[in-house]
Amino acid sequence: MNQEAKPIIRIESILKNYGAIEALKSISFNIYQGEFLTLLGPSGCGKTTLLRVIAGFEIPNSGLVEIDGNNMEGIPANQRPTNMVFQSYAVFPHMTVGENVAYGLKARKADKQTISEEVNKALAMVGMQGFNDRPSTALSGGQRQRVALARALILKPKVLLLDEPLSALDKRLREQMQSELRQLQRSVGITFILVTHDQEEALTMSDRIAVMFDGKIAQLASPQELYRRPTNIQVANFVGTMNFLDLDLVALKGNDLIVEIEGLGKTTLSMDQAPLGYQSNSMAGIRPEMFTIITNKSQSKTKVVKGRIVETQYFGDMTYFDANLEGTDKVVTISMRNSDISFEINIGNDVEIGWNPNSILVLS
Amino acid sequence: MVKTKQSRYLVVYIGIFLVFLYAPALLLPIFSFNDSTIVAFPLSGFTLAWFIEVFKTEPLLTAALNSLLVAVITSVFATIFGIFAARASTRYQFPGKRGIMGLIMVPMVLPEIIIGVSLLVVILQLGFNLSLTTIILGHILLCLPFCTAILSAGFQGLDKSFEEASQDLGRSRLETFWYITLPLVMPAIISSLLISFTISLDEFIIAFFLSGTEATLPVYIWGQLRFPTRIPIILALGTVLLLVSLTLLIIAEYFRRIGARKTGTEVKGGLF
Repeated sequence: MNQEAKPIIRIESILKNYGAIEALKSISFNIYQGEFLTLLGPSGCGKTTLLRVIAGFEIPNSGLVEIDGNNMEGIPANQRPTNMVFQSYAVFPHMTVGENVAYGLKARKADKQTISEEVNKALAMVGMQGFNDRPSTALSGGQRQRVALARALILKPKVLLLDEPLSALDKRLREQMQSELRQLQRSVGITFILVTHDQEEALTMSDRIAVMFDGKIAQLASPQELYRRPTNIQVANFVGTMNFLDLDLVALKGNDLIVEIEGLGKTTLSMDQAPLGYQSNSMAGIRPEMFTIITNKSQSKTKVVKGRIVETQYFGDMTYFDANLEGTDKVVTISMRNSDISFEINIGNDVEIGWNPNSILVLS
Repeated sequence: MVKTKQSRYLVVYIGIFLVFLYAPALLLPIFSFNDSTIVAFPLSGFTLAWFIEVFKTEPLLTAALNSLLVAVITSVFATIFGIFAARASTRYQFPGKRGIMGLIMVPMVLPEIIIGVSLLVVILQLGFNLSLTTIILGHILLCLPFCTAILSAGFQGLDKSFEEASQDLGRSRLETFWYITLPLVMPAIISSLLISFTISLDEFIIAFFLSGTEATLPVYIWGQLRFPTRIPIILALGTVLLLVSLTLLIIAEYFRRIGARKTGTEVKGGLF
């Protein structure tokens, strides 16, 4: 993502209150042309409110929304260069599929010939060619979703807003739609803003993810960056699984942090591993896949601790182990590819656990 | 269902209940075809004379026309006001909403005779003459709670995101109301029109108090009851009205159910 590029949407100090409840607490960030940005967070974090502020359905108490260089203040939803796919799809039940898709172009007073051509193109784009005359009440959830997409994309919006569009679909259809949406976004080159509470969905689809908690953006980064270097405990907990261990600072030498980690012992970390610096309430975070149960003496890890397996969860390709670290009551989660395990590991087994100080993050 | 002793008693109870409810109304059509001026069993013969007489009686036809006029105007205005009230109560929050909606619903439970007398007093005090217009005003007041209740159900079943989607796709609020909201609540509107029409058509007490020289059909019928020989004609007229009212109610319910299905809400409540 070229951060030097001109942003398609500029959001500055957006504040939104509902009575005494602060839904958005001074949010500022930019969204760039052609990017797939996801607003990720638990329900009630303000992600949908932010999307609705961009669409023009909610008026912020203060702050600026600029789309393609134009201030959106006082501009109603029907005059904004954005289109939205609603959580409930909102496919008009009293119209056919074709009439639904044509709705926006009719509002623009396009001529009949253009409308019919564009409708066919839009339906083909979402894989629903020939559905023009179907009553929209006779569609499945996935088809409704596609009609809602076609209806929004036919207007060639500068930005497409998607409000939890996949949450009503079953798991298989959801995964299929995830990859279709991604491909569609690449082929049309329109900026997509997706709202979701599903971190897996956010990781697989987005160019960048804004993780929101409590009306604020906690971190805005690429999926890789977000997973590898979450900036705080809340984000690390929400995106993927993370083991947290108590941390004591022994000494600070230049760029080196000498620390004592619960169950892992004394080690030296680099200041780079503490994205927001060391604080008295900092903890050591380590992802499950950064631990290895040593089943083969030739496997080399910088450090080794002993532990006892207390729980296993088998997933076909992977197995998740819970291990109690020797000399503590701390239980950590370890994930292993099953192809890397050369002997059976059962509950109650004592094992050697390899880890690398590089994979530790200092988070607060 | 297993047939138990209790369930047999229940069937008997329902049977008696239905007889009490509908038998008197069924006597109306039976006697309207009876070839005698005396309304009593045994029946003396079949005739259509009373029905023919209905359509030959000039003042009766005038009263019927008055009633139609009153009912049409009442249903249109009560439904328009009902749309305003229903829209406001389902979409917007405003101070005193519960109280205001409660006041709109009050005429539903208020005795009609009280509404009739008090409206009569007010209208005379204000120096207006009694006419069909005053009846219409009274009927709008009476029908408004029914219309508001039916339309509120219709507006409530309407997902807000349909309207937002329409605006998002470039339509203004007014266009959205026209292209999306109205068609989706149309079944409720038709049902409201029909029900208020039916209520107004056979309403007697308010019409009796507020009519001047022009009588509506129920008021005319009441006046005719003094003449025993006219009674079979009234019965024939009653039969016609019964059929019209029933048909309208069935059509109203049909549209209400279509509406409920369209907006995806469960079919429940209503008048049937």
